[in-house]
Amino acid sequence: MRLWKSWALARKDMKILRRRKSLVGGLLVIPVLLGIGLPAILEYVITKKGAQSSVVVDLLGAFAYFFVLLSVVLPLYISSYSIVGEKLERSIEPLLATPTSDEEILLGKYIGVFIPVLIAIWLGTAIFMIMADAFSSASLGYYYYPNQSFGIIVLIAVPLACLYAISFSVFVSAKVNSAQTAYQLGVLTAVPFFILYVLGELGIVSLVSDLNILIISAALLVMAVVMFFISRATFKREEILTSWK
Amino acid sequence: MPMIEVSGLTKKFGQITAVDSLTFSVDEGEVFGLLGPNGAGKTTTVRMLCCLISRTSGTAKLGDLDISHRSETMKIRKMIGIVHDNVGLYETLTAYENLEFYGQMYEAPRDLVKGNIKEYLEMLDLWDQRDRRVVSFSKGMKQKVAVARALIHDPQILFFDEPTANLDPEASKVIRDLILKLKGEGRTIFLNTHNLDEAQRTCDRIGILKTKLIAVDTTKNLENAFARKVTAIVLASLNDSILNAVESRNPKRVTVEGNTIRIELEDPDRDTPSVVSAISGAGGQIKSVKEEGVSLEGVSLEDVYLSIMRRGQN
Ligand SMILES: Nc1ncnc2c1ncn2[C@@H]1O[C@H](COP(=O)(O)OP(=O)(O)O)[C@@H](O)[C@H]1O
Ligand SMILES: [Mg+2]
Repeated sequence: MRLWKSWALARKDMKILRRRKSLVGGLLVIPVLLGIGLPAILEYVITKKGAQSSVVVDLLGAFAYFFVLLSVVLPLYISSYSIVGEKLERSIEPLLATPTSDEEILLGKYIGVFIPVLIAIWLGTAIFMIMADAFSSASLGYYYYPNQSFGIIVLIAVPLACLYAISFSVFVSAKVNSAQTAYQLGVLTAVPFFILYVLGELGIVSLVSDLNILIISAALLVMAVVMFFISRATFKREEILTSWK
Repeated sequence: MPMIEVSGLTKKFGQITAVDSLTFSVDEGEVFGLLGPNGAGKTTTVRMLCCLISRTSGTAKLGDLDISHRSETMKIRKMIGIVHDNVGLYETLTAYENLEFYGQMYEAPRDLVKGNIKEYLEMLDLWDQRDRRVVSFSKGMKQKVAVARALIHDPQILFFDEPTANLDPEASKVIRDLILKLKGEGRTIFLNTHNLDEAQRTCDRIGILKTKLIAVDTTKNLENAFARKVTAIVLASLNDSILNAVESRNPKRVTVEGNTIRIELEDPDRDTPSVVSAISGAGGQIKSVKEEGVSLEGVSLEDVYLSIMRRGQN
């Protein structure tokens, strides 16, 4: 596998993404809203409800998990277009005719979604940390962010959650012919994370535990790698070309 | 030396046989035309030769590479250029960006890619438009970019799948001229077309396809076989009884111009003597008898099929 070929494909995909203003807007809006909205809730709870610092800390811990959830959902938004988009533009045939291997194409597709999504989510988390600190430091007496737990989430769990979601939706979009179907099937990948969230709320699983986050991350990594190999094994050029009329 | 050698190549989609045991070969430097109507199996054949879809049976070699050897697929992809039946360009990218990207995907050296982009875009009259997004291009312009894309890595073998379908005559001519230029450079060219005239103008040899290969021959021989042949007979004078005598021989068509009768016969070699004797019998004084070839222009693919089918039955 030649990484430079995947990179060439990813750069092409990112260039196309940058030129589609509506996609870029859609990519940025949720992380930014989350980055602003979650601290706004915090501000409300502190000033209007006079929350204790222990409540503030609990809330901050719970908010962090939202960025993991976002990392599972947001990639679908672009990667649904990834291979389906090439099918729609009919550029898939010339692409498949080039001397590029299945793995190189798949990896290129992964990278082309991974980088812009990660940038968008990190932008959201940066806004979140700054605003959360600004609102909470007075009542806590210290700056809550940055800290180790959030570092683990942002630097490990978020990228791996993205990778996991991308691996699923690239697999799906190689099989279906509409971005909408790819998106809808892709949303299923988020289900386990919502279940985890509910379990966390019920106090069955702690989502503020670093160890648990690391375990979840490891599971995500394993699933992404498994999905990559399944995608590769089921990547049938002929099927991609001829099931499309 | 054959550059493309196809033997027994067959493709079935489920119950449908799209391409049925094709056997033919294309020499290096030759322009080979695969001529057939919609649904004849032209695209399917090219896709098999380009390792884009699998074969049901049979095989083919490009140079010394075998399409049935998986390990040779990448080498085959590198040595061929394809103008697909759909342009399939990235519409939000510019012409230049599209070509640059494919230069990378074909692993061509940067300098070669730059040089080829300039050379072909200039040749195709698109150099000034290179930084415009393809979305704003006309159909003809897009097709020209697709042609340049096929040439970006200097492939030895080129496949053109109906490159002038639905293009205006001017763009069609530019593309045909380029095909002839590429032939002049010694490249091997495989041209799919449903246009008899186009095949006649560009191809050295033509295979006529309708799921099966009905005929393969040089363009010259096919022309001889299918061009309408007209026998021109110049007479000292002309009258109705002479014309009636000609009509009695059941010609396909008769036109009269001054003292010249032009007669289209089923088979001039066979029928001319009897027409001549009929004219003499009616008192006509023949000054000269000449055979005039009429080009394939105006002859439809259907005529060719019908005529081949008829011969097959004889
Ligand atoms: N993916 C496919 N599935 C089923 N039938 C197909 C498929 N692709 C082509 N065919 C059939 O194979 C035949 C040949 O098609 P094609 O090669 O596209 O012809 P042409 O390029 O000469 O117009 C047609 O009858 C077409 O319907
Ligand atoms: Mg076709």
